[in-house]
Amino acid sequence: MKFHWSIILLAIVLLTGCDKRGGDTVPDPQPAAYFWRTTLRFDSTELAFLHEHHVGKLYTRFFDVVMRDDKPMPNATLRFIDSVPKDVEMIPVVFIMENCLQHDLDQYSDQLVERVVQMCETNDLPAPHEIQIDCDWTLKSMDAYYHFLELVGNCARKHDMRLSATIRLHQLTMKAPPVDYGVLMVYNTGDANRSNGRNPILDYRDVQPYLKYVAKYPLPLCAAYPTYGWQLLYDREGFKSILHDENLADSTLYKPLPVNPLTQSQPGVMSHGTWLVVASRDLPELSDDANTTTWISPGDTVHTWTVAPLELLRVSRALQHERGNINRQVVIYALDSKNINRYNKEDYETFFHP
Amino acid sequence: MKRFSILSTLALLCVIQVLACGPWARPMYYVFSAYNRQQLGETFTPQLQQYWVNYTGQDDARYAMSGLSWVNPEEFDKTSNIIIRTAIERGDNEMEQYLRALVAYMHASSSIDDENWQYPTKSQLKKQNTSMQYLNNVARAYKGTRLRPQYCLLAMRTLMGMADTQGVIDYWTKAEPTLQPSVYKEMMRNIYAGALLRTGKRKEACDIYAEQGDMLSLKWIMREGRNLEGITGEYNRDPNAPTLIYLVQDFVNIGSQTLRAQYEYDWDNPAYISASQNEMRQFITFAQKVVKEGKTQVPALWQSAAGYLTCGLGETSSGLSMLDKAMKMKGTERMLDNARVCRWVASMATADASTKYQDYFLNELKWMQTVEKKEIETYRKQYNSYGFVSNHYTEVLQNIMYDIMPPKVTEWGNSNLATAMMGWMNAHEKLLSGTYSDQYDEDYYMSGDYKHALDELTAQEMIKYRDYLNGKGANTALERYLNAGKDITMTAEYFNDRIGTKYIREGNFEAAIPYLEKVSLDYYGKQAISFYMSKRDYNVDRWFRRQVVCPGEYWTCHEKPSPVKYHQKLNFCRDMVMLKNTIANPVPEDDNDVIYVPQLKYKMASLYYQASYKGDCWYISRYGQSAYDTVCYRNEKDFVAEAAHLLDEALKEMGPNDDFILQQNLLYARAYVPFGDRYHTQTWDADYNVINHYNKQSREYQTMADLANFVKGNRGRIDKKISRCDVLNKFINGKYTGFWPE
Repeated sequence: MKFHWSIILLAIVLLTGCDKRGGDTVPDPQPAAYFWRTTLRFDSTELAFLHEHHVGKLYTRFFDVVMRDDKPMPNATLRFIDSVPKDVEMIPVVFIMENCLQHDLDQYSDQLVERVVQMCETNDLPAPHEIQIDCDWTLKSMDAYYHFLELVGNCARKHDMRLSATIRLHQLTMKAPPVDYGVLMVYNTGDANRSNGRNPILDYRDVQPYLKYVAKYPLPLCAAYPTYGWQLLYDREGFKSILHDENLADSTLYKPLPVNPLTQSQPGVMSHGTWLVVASRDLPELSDDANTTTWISPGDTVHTWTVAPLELLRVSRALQHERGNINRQVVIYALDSKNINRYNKEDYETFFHP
Repeated sequence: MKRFSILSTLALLCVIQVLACGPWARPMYYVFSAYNRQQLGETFTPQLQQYWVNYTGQDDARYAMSGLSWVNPEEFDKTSNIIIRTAIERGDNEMEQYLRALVAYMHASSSIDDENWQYPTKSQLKKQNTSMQYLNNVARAYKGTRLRPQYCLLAMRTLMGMADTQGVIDYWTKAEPTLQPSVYKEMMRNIYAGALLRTGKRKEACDIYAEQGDMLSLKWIMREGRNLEGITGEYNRDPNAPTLIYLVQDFVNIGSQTLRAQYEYDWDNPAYISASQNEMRQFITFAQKVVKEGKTQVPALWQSAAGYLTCGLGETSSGLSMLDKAMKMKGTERMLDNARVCRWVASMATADASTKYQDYFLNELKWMQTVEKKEIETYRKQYNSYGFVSNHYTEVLQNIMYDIMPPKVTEWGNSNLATAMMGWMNAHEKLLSGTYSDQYDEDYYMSGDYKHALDELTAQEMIKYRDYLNGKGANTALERYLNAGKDITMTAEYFNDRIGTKYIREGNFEAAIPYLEKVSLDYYGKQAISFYMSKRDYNVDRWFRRQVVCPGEYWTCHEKPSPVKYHQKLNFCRDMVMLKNTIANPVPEDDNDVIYVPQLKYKMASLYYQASYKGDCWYISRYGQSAYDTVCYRNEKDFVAEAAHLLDEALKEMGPNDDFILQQNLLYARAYVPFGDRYHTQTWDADYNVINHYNKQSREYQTMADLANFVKGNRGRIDKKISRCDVLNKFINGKYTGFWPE
């Protein structure tokens, strides 16, 4: 009996020790995922994934707020076709374009929360317990954004909702936003415009300078890691655009090129490929404007990037080293069968429980 | 004095409509056009508009049609919409009831907006659904015949409004055989295609979109099938699938563009040849097989596609004979016209200067104008339009006359014919757009290609071209035809001004004078450059004063033509000739005159600089200016370099105790005129980080050092306009980071 209690005591000490650095953990931590499409519809792979990995939270983009006719307006509102499995909590996320922060947003904080509530009601969803705001704010727009978050938070509390926000790596260097907790976006860490051999989705070298801010960041934090891939189109001048699910196996259009020596030396860490465009084509884009097309021409190159499991774990463990509880809740970005098939089941288990 | 820095910023901002030396790029349009490019909305709208124009007897009904969507159903009886008013006032109950239902449908459709702050509530959605259901019942209850197509369309629209895709399919299947062809039936078919698409019947939907010319939907849906594999798959499904017309046209046009891009960049790259070019060859073989099999009803389409791509791959002779055959095969009228256009364009790859080819070219040029006219008239009738109509045939003509033929004809050694082709096309465009008689500013209204070509000519070439347009050396039927269609707004005065200006640009001021003497002030008053010419004086030293014409922000400056008071170009030439002669032979006319050559050289440098691309009076030597201009014309004399050399010479020729004011002005001007190597340059490393380089041996640094030393050695005597110069003071204080622009 004595021995038993000592083990329990030791466990408590160890757990407390783990949580010592980096403040509180996020509420009700669970494996989680972002859903970032414009239509809420799941295929069988996605449903199986949610079930298999016990995903308990789905951070779901409800709509964006963009400037239209000189006013902040909702855009790309989510269409509800399917419903989320019963044991998964849906957390509405609203993305705000940074330029909206130049506008006086006071009157829109209530409207934003009410709209989220109404969307749930109209579509027979349970009343949400939380709302998340996503915005790529900068030092210039920080004050306006934080003021807006305070107003949104006040309104959210009236509806018994928490407020969370996404935090980009560069935002760690600024003071924390007035929210209940943050989700650290550990992706898009590089610059697609610069061909420096680094993976623009996630590269440890781009995360490393921010590690020192993670431990003391004064807000409960969890981390979101990328499982998506990119097809980046370059011409002779540099970066041109992101392609959407181009079939690079079409040999009449693309020819694989030998791997760049800069990016081939780290097996398991770098997942990069380069294709030469061998013909011209106008590719219609997924856009509200049906006339939007991307032109590809012979001589252009397509660089594909995904994050290798080892690199993701390396970053995840480095973050955990700085802040013991940051991976108590891991969010993957984003739920999509293409992304699910990119990694195997064991990889995902390791991502969720590093 | 902040002048240097402020003025250099202004110089960057103040740009006339055209860049003097800018490149002129225009896209190469697709040549292969097997069916009209009209898009969905436009396909139906004109016919619907015409229906209401006929019903009301008023042309304004075109606009009233779109106004129906703004009518509040509760105020239906009070609306001023002429379509509704006509129905009510005529006592046309049947039409009135239909319009009530239509207005109610439009109102119900627009009552819910997903992208508004007020997200629709359940009850609003329910209400909308109830309205749709009610209107669907109303539509189905109509038992008459006159408005049956309209009510059938309404029934399908309301079913779609309720997201009942199966209902749409069922309704169409039942109603379709009972309906006569009409715009309403086509609109129903389009809704039906949407329902097919939503139920996974992609290819069936595509066939409908292809028949209706809905290119955007097609391109998106068929994005994975825009290749030989997609074409063969469609052909195997149905050799006469309407989608095939789109896919074949797309394959040929994209293929031609690929060949052009490969030719321009890296023709011999084996990666291109093995992949895309092989696919084209396989397509050619497949297309010939299709023709042979005889299952297609439009062999002309396949044969012309194969022929045109064969030409593109460099096998012009066999490609042309394939196209010759295509013109005699079965196909729609447009497909046969298309084969002929393709044959004409493809023939240009091996075009020679022979009379035989020129006659063929002329014959096709004349024919092309007949199909162009037909196309334009169809559009105008359909859209009730009177202005310029963008259409396929005009675009192909633009490609031929501006891009394809001029380099070819120049190779023949007939650069006048090359320029005349552009001139004819420019005049042809003016005729089509109705701007022919506009006398405001010929230069302004001239299209970029022709204007650029004329601007490129030397003075001598311009004289020859003028004579050519007047008949000298225009010997063939084609040349005579093109000359007959030349731009009549290019008057003798136009040529005199152009030739004189080109002589100025070349530094041949004596030769310019007789031409410029024949140009009136009234002529200049209509030119775009007159805005500047009327406000600036070339006698002002540019380094001491910038002549600002737009005191506010540059975009508030409307460069309207303004009357000019004196002939600046002519006076400038006369002044330059006098200065040049006096410097060459500095003998005073009488004993009282004193000629001081350094002073004359300073003056001449000042005039050169003002008339240069850097000066305020750039309009003396060109017709537009930008901060990025440089010496860019053939035979152009570098006026900036001339100014710098003259300033150097003048300074050298001065004695140490000579005119102090002139000496300080010369030193100041030398430091100002950006000629030679710069002090501060930048390069970028692999990560695009800027690397700064500073060169104290540069001319910029040395001229600035000469000025600074002179100022430091003569404190108290220096003119304030120099001693207060911020850039100079930075230099003296060791904070100079460079001033000369790129």
